[in-house]
Amino acid sequence: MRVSIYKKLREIPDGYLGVLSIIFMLIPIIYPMGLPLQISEPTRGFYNTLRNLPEGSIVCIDGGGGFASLDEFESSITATMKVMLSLPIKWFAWGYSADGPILMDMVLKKINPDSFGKVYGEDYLVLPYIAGGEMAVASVASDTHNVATNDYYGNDLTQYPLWDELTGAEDFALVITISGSCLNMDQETRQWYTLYDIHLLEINMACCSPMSMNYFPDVMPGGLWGVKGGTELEVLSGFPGPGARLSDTQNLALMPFLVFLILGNIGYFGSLYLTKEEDM
Amino acid sequence: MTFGDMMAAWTMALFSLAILSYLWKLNYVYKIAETFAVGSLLAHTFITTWTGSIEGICLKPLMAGNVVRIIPLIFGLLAFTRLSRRYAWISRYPTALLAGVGTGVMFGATFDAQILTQLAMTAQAFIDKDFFSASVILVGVFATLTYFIYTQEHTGALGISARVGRVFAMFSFGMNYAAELIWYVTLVVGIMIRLVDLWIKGAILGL
Repeated sequence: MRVSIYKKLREIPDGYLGVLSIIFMLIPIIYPMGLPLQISEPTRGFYNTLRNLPEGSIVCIDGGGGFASLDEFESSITATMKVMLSLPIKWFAWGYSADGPILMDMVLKKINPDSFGKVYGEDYLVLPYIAGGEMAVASVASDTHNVATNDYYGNDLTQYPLWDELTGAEDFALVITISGSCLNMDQETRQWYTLYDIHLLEINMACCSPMSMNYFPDVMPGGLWGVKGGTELEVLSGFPGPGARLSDTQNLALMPFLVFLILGNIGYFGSLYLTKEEDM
Repeated sequence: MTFGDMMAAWTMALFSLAILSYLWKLNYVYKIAETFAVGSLLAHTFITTWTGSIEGICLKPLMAGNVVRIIPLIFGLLAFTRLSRRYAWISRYPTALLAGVGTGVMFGATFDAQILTQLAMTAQAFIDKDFFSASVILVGVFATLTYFIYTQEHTGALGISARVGRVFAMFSFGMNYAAELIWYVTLVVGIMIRLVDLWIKGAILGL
């Protein structure tokens, strides 16, 4: 009798998990809930690092990531852009991945930098995709003028005053790296921190946070990973965005996974215990 | 909603449902959507690489008189000799150059970034006088390292340490797996939100 219960628990079809998860997912999509959120240290570090930059500082954004993971990045990039546009700093982004500048452009169109009083070419600049991976990072750091002649929109870069200020790593106060790779912090640390002593902030997928945490807080004083990071920055900065709803939906969708995890373990350890009891 | 927005919403919805149909079984609708995705990604990468790298970094400066930029262009073109059986050997040169420069760029700072910096941060908790965290990190690092000692049988003190190390490694893998699961769930959540907002509410119900 007891064996059959444990066996049943172990053999619940995983299709049930999928259906339950989708039902749980739909609840906050239809009825937004606003679940409570605790701000983590890396997000606080991310925000404070940006806020503490001296006036006129230039921030370099290594714009990676891809549309396949848009939902993981969008809230973080949007909140970061809003914070940066609200501060008296300058920034430029370049495409570390082919999708990078497109993502950046998409976010900028949504938030409208003009409403923050910022001028393209004077306060911020978007460069195109620069092929080469880590070699491109090294090139941007050593000689920025050598890596591009046009901006992302195809315009000649020499017409922009900000372009004259970007000669290399010595001009940058900080680097924000956006990536969809869990080895991102390794290469960014090599090219920016080790060689030029420039600190990094990271925006990456949730699954990469364990790898990146190795660099927190010395090399990387802050980081945003997945929807959670973006939502936290939205709350902390007071700039609402797409993260809150995504975060609620994600939290609820994970509930069935937790229940199934517990049931599966009860089934597994229960049958293991009973088998040992029978052997004795 | 404009006609263009409606077309975009329907295209997004049909392609999303086509990809999700894989959950039922591998079918032609899924294969068509997959082929579209691969094709458009290839075209997108080609165009962005052309405008950003080939045109922006090579052709334009070359036309402006920067003749040195012909070197990467020639090396790039040499990669296509792979298409000829007779001259395929030439393609090894650009490959070798790329691998050599890549290794050089990486190698110099790897020891500092991935070993010294990590070691320094392992000790950081001691410097900050957070002795609990420091002890956990210290035990975790040493025990996990001993788990990977394969030249000695895992018995006695080494065996105990390796077992502890295995527990730490399992914690780490568990955390990675959980984070991976969150990522997958986010992808589905994003698709569901777009389906509900853009397709059902926007294109079908006109809300």
